[in-house]
Amino acid sequence: MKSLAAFLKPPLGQHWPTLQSNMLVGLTLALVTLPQAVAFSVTLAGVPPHFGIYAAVWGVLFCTMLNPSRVFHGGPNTAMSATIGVTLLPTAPPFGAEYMGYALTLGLMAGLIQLMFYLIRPLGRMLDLISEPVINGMICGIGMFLIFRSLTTFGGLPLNTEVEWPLWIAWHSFLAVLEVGNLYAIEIGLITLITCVIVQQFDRLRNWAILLGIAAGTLYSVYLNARLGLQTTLVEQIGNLSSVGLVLPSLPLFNQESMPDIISIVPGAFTLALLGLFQTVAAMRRMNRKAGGFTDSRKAIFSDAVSNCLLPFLSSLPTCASFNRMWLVHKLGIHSRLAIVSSALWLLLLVLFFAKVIAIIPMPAMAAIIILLGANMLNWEDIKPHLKDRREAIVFMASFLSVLFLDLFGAVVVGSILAIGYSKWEQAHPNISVRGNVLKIRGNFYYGSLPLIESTYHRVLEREGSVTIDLSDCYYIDREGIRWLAAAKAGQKAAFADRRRENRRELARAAAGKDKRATGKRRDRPDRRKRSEF
Amino acid sequence: MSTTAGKLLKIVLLLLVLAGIYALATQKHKQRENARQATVALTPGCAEKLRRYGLVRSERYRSPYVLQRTGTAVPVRGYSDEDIRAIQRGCNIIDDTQGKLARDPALERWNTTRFIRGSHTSCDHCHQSLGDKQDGHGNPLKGSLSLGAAWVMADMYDRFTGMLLPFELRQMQCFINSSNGYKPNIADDVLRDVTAYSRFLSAAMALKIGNHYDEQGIDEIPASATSKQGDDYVRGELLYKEKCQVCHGRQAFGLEANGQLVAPALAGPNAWNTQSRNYFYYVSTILPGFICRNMPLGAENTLSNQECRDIAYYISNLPRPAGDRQGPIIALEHQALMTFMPPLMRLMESNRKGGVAADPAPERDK
Amino acid sequence: MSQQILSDSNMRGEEKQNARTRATAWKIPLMVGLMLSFVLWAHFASGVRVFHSESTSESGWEKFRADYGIAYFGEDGQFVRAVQNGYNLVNYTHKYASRFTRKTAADRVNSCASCHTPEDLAYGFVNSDRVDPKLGKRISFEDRVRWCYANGMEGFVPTIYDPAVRDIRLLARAVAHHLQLTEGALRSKN
Repeated sequence: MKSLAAFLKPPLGQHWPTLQSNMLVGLTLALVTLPQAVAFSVTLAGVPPHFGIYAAVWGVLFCTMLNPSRVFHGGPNTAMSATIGVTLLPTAPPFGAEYMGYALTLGLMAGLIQLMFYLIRPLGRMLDLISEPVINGMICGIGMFLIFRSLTTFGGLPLNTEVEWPLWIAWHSFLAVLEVGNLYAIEIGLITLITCVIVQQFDRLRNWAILLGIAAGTLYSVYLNARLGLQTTLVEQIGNLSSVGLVLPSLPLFNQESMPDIISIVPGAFTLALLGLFQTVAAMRRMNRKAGGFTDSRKAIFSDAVSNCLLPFLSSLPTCASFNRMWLVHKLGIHSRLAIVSSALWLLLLVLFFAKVIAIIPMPAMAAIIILLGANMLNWEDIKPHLKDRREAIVFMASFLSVLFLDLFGAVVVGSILAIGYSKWEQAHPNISVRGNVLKIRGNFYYGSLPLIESTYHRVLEREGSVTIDLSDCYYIDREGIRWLAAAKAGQKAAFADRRRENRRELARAAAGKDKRATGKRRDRPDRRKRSEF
Repeated sequence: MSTTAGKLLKIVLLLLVLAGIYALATQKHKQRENARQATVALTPGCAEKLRRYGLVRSERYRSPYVLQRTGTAVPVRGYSDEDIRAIQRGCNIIDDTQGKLARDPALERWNTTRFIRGSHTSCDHCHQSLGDKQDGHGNPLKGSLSLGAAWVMADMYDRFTGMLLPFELRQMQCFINSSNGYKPNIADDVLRDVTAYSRFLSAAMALKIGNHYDEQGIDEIPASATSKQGDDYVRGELLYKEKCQVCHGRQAFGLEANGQLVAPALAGPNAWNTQSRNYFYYVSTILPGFICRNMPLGAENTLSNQECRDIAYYISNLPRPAGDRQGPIIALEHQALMTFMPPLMRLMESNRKGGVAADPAPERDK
Repeated sequence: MSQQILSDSNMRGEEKQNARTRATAWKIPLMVGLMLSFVLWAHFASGVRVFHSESTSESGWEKFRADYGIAYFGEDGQFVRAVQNGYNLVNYTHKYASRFTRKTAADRVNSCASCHTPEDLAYGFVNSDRVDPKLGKRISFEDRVRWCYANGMEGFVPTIYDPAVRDIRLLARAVAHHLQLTEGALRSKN
């Protein structure tokens, strides 16, 4: 590294310190991403590890090329990998050629759906309506789902094929691990998990917890295999990655005989697409707020969509934003796309040169990492704010429970309906206060809120004989609202008030008075055309 | 409490929990291993069956059944004590799935009741005579769901699951659909022991791998095998009342007497669900085939093909659990149907008949 | 007045932003073009074999198919393709199960076929799921295959339902059918 630094320094001159820090951040990111990439593809998606690795290399590079955001980090994702696994389990045995073909087809379909969200503006805009309680509820539900799904691999047992209710699978998987699990696998998984949790307690080492956990699990696995032999322990490992090169071109599976299966996975493609977009938009929103910047979410949708349309041709899992990795980049203090690009290149180098080390990483250790990541997604600090408000709490819980009781597709549908319903509910319940015969409305005056306004209006009218409707804090009136107001006015029992006009006159008078005192001349009248409307 | 102390406490708690889980796992493993080594208390049916087929420890196995019928029996690999125990346990599971005859059902039947909803289902209700049904002359019966024949033709493509179905996965299907239950893990002893028993049956009958035998599966009855009078629900109801109700109950919820199961449920929470191949709407040939070849007990092969289809159609219209793939909303709907429809029907029928039940035979629906 | 100045500066800011957007508008299509070119290069010019799901017919398959009567299970079909994949795995293990073996084409022993004939597999299949006296426990056919990958192939252990294991079992079953083996059949000493 030092000699490389010495070699590069002269031509780069003043840029060298920046380049160096970007490369270091990139290396850190690569070391954090590598075990995740492998774990997601093998434990969750049911595809060989190179799928996750290519997603962490080419997926990250493609997204960075298309997304101008300096905080965005794409790559493999837990929820998307889990969705692939759940969707494809009924179609073919995992890790087989047919399964891989379906995985690529699923990714391509998801990419095309995402492209549709980009091209049809209102669809893309609807993603902004997905509120935080919905996203957080789904993320917590997915966190639990990840824990459940990893139990069998943790115990060295085969996955149960065919879909059942997630909670029942989880319970039976847990019992199966206790009764018939591979004890060596359980030991490896426990050591990995314990190491990760202990290391996480130290702030300085927090980012290295996963790597150290895997190292501990792998070392123990090596010890067991040396003492007892792999044929005795039968612990599954990542396997030989030496055939993984710079690129592995691939073709998604599309032929006549696969059509029934391809049609059956279309709902899964929608789930995959929507989950990816939800997470990208939510992660971008959160990071921009934390880092103090802004990037149009349409650009993120575009980068995801185009990447996911191309990645299936490079043996890769689909990609979306990873909030955890983005947060890591932010904490390391670098906001540069160069760091992210370098992480992809470092990862490729690591795989090319350290394939033999990666090969012996045991699968139970990967499962332990997934369990840990799932547990980390159940973050009390993110959940707490939603429980303070009743409506948010309901939306959060409904979203969370729908992941556990319905499949992921159902959860996405419920989440979307909740989000839109939630926002509509908020709009349809403006604040209506009555003082004497003055009916004040704070909020939206439209077809959704009209029934409530109407009922209050008639109550006041009955009591007082006439009503003054105060529209000072009314943000928006639609045509139906205007028609109703006109009818109310025509009935000659309603009057309207809008203090904003009076306030503006007073402000203008006050401003004119000040100017006159300051300059001795009359102030120009403000240009009414440019006055901002409510 | 300081942050360090808090973190330390968290780590200690976690270590305790994980150590507890590991200790529990070790204990359960030991328990299982002891159960594998323990002598098996055979059910009467299994004792007879395995005695007939000469299952004893030896270097070589010669099937007495084949010897008796053909005069020669090619010796094949013999069975060790542990192999024999696995076969015996598998036979017990087929004969007494719910573990009613076991002292410790959890260990002796490998927790099968954990994987089955309801208290009626037993493998031998469908796989009669312990998966090896024969006529009086010892000939295997056509379409008798022979387990040995199923083993030799296993691993084929299954259109219902859309994949090549290994024998173990096929057993799982029985648990989740026909028993309306849950799947054991593929490594579970339940599946391994039933497989061992099935393999032994195929050895005892000298069945060849990959050959089709008539006793495999069901002797299905398609509509083309009938007089094409149409599958009639109402005709089926009448036939059911005449032929089936006396054992299976008026609403097909099964019959129990003195704590013993007389006849299993054909509808309701103890019956198969809508994903089972017994469900007429799913596969219309299997249940009719089963009925015609196996029912009524003692009067088999007396119903016509059309009658069998009618009865199967009627039974499939009675409320039953939903399959797992249909999701929780349909499941709730079926649950509501199973809860509310039967008492409602009973009430309607008794009102219609002036408050007197038409059927004098007592029934105790579950 | 101040508002007029503000609005003038707003307009200039907007014009600057539009100019910047126009100047960078070519970047996105260029990036997309680069990505597409890369994918095309990977497929057509990189020299790397393109992965696709369909089974590949390796040399010797047709003869094997004829010799062992695989056509009994159909000219084509899911089972036959699995048997074909099994054939590829057994004879070209380093190529078709590269994830589970460290052997390469250069090694003398680099496939299941280096040690086992199809008959060995068939007899192994019908005698599987029995207690191994050396290990003291029942070993399934799949466990034996996984064992071979770990031991004989100096490799790694696949998952039990991985086609790298399943398809070898199906090959063994198909050959056992051809040989008309029963459960527990023993090889004759002749």
